[in-house]
Parts: sequence; structure tokens; C-alpha cells
Amino acid sequence: MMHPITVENLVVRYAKKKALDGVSFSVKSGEIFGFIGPNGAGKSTTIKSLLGLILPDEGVIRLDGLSPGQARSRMKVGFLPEETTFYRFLTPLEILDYYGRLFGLDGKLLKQRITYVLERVGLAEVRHRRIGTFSKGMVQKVGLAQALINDPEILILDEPTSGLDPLARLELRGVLAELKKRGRTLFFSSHELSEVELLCDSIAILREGRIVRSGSLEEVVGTDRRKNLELFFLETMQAPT
Amino acid sequence: MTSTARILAMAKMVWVEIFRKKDFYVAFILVGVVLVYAANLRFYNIQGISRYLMDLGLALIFFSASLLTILLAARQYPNELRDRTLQVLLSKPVSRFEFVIAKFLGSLAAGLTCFILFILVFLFIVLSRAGSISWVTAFQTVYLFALNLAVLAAMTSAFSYFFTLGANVTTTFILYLTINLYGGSLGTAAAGLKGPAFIAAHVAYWVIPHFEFFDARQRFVHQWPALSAPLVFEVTLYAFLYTAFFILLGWSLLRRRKV
Repeated sequence: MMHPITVENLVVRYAKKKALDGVSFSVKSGEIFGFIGPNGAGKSTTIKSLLGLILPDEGVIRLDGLSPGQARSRMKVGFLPEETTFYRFLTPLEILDYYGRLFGLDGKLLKQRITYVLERVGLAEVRHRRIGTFSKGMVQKVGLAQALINDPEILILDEPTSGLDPLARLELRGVLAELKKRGRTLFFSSHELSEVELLCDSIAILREGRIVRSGSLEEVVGTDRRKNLELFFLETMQAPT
Repeated sequence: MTSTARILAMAKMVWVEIFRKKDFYVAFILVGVVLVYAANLRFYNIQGISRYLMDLGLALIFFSASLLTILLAARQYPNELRDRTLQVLLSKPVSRFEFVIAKFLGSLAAGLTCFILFILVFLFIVLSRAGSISWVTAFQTVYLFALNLAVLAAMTSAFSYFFTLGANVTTTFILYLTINLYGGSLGTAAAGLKGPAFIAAHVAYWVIPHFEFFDARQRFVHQWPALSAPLVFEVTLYAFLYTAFFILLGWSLLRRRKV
């Protein structure tokens, strides 16, 4: 069976240094996959490779069987980057109209999608306000809204809870749970291990460009309830390479 | 969705940007104030003074429109990169070639809009003072400057994939001014040189985009005859080739870059 995301033996070099060294994993349909690791482990590089923003030096990436560079595969993907500013001179309505058009949406369908997405992320009230006047949390909501505008089959989230207050995190969890219920596949990179533990079905732990552990949450952490993901993560990071 | 529609959607964003920021309004007010002030100056009825003021007004408009185009085109790629909106944009079904074309077209459209608005104010003042002008020469002046803006927008966009924002604005502006002032005399100067300096000056003369080719201000101000159609065609072709070259240069710089 074909998985929505398949990565095989991915190698990415910056100058001569290997940022990713033989990374392989796959994400099942309808699954929330947590991708965790310390700063500089290669999480963002992996995400950029998944999005076709970086051409890997070695290895293969397939999104629903397609190469990430192909426009057809990008039609199926939504992406929320970490701490994006977006266009401060635009309103949420304008920005969603803009991104929606890039996916070929227009007319009534685009209007419906914009209305739905704005309401879903809680920005309907401020849709005519310029983004430049928004708080960090509200900008993050704009980011989530634009990632959902094409009703993506695969959603890639880079540190989605960064800068969000507890209430906004709860709202985000609600949106992601709903997407999972609708059979969407979510790839989730985060430092917030408690969020990962709450949301994800499977995880992969990245260290110095290599995956050191991967599998379902139970498989990786074990069934010992005293041991949470944070403890396990710290043990893994402190273990000799 | 067609590639053209995506390019137009991205270009529109660049166009919108200039009218949502202060740069344009500052330049517009400044140009308007200087033009109105210059039009009301009286120097004891000295002959030719109105032509001098007309020349000054046009120079100010050309300068302002060029500066706004440089500033807008130069900040597109670095700002998208800094704000991480480039990653968002390129994660959508948008190719890098479409991105480069859209940024160029948007910058050109915004620069042209500013220029046309400035020119309308200028023409209103000139017509209310002088009464009549040569419309053919006026059209040629505007058309040639539009070509100038196309080459300038393409050059600044291409440099933005290589230089930082500050370095690009400085380099492009100095290059643009230098070529406008001395580009024409470079060939004559080269003739007087010897050895490697002779070769370097000749290479520079043939390689640089001669922005002064697009400047028909004197023709308009002094009411000289209009340029011949074949000459206008040649200059158009010249602008087209340089614009295409700079767009391809920008694309080749961005094509395989890790963003």
C-alpha cells in the first residue's frame, strides 16, 4: 500500500557537511506523525526537502507517489512554516484570496473556502484588518489558515505551537484532531514534546541528521507510564552516538 | 490554473505593496510640490526658462520613478526570504521561473503606475502653462522611459538573487546613474585609451545596458522632431533583449538554490 509520505535514504549536504544522513521514514494515511529532535538536528531541512524547496543530494521522497517538485504533488500539500511574518500590508481575506488563487481556486468555491477557513481558525472577525496589526498568535493563525486553503491531503507543520498561548494551542489541537478525523495526513515537527505526545500516532527522533528511533508512540516510549516522551527524548539525546 | 494566472496573482501582490506603503506617497507629494513650485517661478521673463524648468521637472519624475522601481524590485526576494513567505509561496504549485517573472512584472507595473501618475501631474501643469506640446514626442518620451523601467526592474530583480538588499540598491543605483551620465561617452573615452584599459573600456561599452538610449527628455523639452519608427523599434528590441537576459540571469541564480 502506498503511503502519503515516503522518504528513503535522504542525504542533504550544506557545503561539505551532511545535514541529513540517510533519513528514511514513511507516514501512513490519516496519521499524525511527530518529527522531533534538538536544534540543528535536520528537522527543517527534512521539511524543506518534503516541500521540494531543497533538492536532496541522495535519496527519494514521494508524496502520494509523486516527487515533491511536481506541481501535482504540491496541490495536495498544505504547509505551515515556523514563525512566518506574512505580508503585513494585507488582510487575512486578501492573503487567503491570493494563496487560494495559486491553487487554481476562484469564484464561489474560493469564497466558501476562505469563509470556512477563517471561521475555523477564529479570524473571521478580523478578516479586514491588516496583518501588520496582529499579535504573534494571530499571525500563526493566518499561517494555519493559508495552509488549509486548498483542503490539503497532507499537512506539514513546522513548530505549529510556537508563540501560541495555552488557549490558542487548545484551538490548534482541535483543528488538527478534526483534520485527522477527516482522514488527512499530518507531519508535525515540534520542540513541544507534550504536544507531540498528545497529538501524534507515530514519531521519529532525529539526531545529527540521522533518525535514531521511530515507530508508534507506544513502540518508541514503551508502555511504562512513568516514562514520558520528554524523559525518553532526553535519555536518547544524552546517549553516546 | 494556468501559469499566466499564477504569475498575474503574484505580480498583483507586488503592485499592491507599493500603494500600501509610504514610499510612493512621499515621492508623489514631493514631485507634486516641486513641479507646482517650479511652474510658478518667475525669473524676470528670461527666455527659455520654462524649458529649463520642464527639463528639471521631467528629470525629477524620471529619478523618482526609477528610485521607486529599484527599491521595490530590490526588496522582493530578500523580504520574502526573511519573512519565510518564500517557503510558503514555493510550497504551492508555483515554479521558480513563475516567481522570477512575477516579481519582475509586478515591480515594472508598480514603477510604471507611479511614473504615469507623475507624468499626468506634469502634463497638467505644462498644458496649463505652455498651452500646447508635441504629442508624438511626448508619447515617445513616455514609451522609451517605460522601456528603461523594464530593463531597470529586470536588472534590479536579477541582482536581488545575488546581493543583499542594501548592496543591491546601492550597486544598482550607482550603476544606473553612472550609465545615464557617462554611458554615451564611454565609447569616445575608450578610443583614447591603450592596452588593457582600451579593451576593458570597449568591453564595458558593449556589455552595459545603455539606459541613456531611453532618455528622450531633450527631444520633448526642445520640441525637436520625433524619432523615426525604425529607431524606436531598434531601441525596443534592445530593451527586450536586456530584460530577457536579466530575467534569465535571475532564474538561473534561483533555480536550484536551497531556500
